[in-house]
Amino acid sequence: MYYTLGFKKNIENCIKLISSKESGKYASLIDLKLALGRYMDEIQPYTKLSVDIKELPVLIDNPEHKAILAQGFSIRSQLNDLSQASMIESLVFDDQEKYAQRLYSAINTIESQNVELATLVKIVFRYLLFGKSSKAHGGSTSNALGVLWLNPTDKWTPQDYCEFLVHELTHQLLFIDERVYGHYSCYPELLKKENYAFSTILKRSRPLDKVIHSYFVGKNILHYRTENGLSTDCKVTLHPLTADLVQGIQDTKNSLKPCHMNLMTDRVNLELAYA
Amino acid sequence: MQLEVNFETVELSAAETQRIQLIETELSQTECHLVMLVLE
Repeated sequence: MYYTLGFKKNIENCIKLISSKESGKYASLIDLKLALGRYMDEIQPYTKLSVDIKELPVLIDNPEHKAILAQGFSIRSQLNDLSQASMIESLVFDDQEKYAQRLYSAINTIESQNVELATLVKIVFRYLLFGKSSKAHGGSTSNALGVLWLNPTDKWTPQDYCEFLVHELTHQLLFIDERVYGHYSCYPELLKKENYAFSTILKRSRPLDKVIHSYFVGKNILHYRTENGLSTDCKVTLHPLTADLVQGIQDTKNSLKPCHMNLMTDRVNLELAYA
Repeated sequence: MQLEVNFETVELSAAETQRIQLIETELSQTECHLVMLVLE
């Protein structure tokens, strides 16, 4: 969402949510991150941990803490179309420190490319949760804002780590935007298959919320590649090649009918129109 | 390189506060979104 809304509006969203709970002045990135963390703890007390927050997301290695964070990913939801509630199969993750360092290197890379984007990554992500899955590379949930679940392998390239961060940041910023403006006019209607649409990345019929997320992820990954001059696709393994991404974005847009527009608030319809 | 951050909370209008609270209540009662980067 960085490339959709820009830095200022995304920060404004964070400030608005914080302002709904407390007032204050934040003179540094860490002050703002701590305030957003307090907001997250208030709305999601089940993911609250007694862990020192730093500018970079903190690697959670204590098994009890990992189990607490993983709860946020195992809540059943009728909007789960791919058995998402059982995605994390094991919290034992060999070499998680090694992979965390690769993620931190990616944040440094992003910082050298676009300091606004890196600042949003640092503010939004509090915790790194490594967990094994045979189904997904990682993910985010609106049940556990600020938690980044990863399941990397040695095949991930430096570009993959950067794109993974852009991908998950887009989800998190969409969750935050949804809490400020509301994104769907009738949540129960999202469950109905007749209201499914075509997703950008997986390229299949999915619930509208997943489709909207995939659309903005696709747009933001594409923009990130364009901004940083990715001239060849050989360095990417997590996301589709650029031409496929462009096609996926178009296919999603073509699949959206008036019934979908009616299920989305003006906020999402406008973001779609101008994205 | 670090971006300078200096922000204050904002005085939300009554309507905006009410909207955010309503959304918070609605989201606490509706299904959550779980989005992943699926292995293919």
